Amino acid sequence: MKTEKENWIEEILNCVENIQPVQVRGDLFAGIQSRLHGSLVHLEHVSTRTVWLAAASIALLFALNFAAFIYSSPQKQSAVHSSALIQNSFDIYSNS
Amino acid sequence: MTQAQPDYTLLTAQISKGDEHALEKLFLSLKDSVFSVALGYVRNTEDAEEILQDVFVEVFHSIQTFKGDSSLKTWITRIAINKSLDYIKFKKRKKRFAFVTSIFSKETGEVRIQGSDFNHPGVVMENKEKSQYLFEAIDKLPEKQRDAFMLLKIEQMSQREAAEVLQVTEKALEGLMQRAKENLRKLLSNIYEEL
Repeated sequence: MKTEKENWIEEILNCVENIQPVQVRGDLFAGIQSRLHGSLVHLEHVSTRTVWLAAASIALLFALNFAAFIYSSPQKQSAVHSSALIQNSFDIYSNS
Repeated sequence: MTQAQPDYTLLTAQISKGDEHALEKLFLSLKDSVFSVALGYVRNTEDAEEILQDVFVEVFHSIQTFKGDSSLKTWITRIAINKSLDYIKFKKRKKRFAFVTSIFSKETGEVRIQGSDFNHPGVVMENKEKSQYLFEAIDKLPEKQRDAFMLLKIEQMSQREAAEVLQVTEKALEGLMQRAKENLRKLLSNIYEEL
């Protein structure tokens, strides 16, 4: 014989046996259409040529930055070195 | 009265050419089942409506990728499940973020996550309270068992349809369903003890 608990569990498991189909508003399609048109406008504006131009610009910018970094590094180091020398020359109160 | 089922092969061809009227026909034919799937997962009408719209936007954009290995309804149901699961993950992330920000600031965006007090609109009135306990237990099932139970019991799909959606054999689906029921019994037993 089933206990009260077992009966309760069976009732819960069977409570969705005769579940009714759910219905949704048909006017939601208007929202889909507006999303489609919104996204299509964006797609029309971005041509393949523009994408390649943007990619080339980024590559060029990166190359220029890289070159500038490579060639400017020793100068920067010497600039730091010379500023330290100047600082030492004017430091009249130190013992050295 | 049941509506005549449209010619899905024809609709697929028309939608792939960008025919929005064909998309509307498809939407009107499948909106209730897609909404029901989403609602079963996200447990909130507005969120399920949002997912329903997302699904059909994706259908319009990626219908070319539909190879016809399964039925169109199965393919769309799979999209609906994936979108619903993504949405749940997004909500969980948002909830965690809201928790972290609440430590530092009182001005946090309130995140609305439907708990176990969810009332499925398809459940008859006298079973509403009982179904809340069932949905609470369903949430604690492993993902595949939960999907199997949802499709077979809540969406009332046939074994063949559900197996196609989950991409498993009917035999494997039976196994998943059996384990889901065993686990639900254990989970409901715990809930009963706490009452």
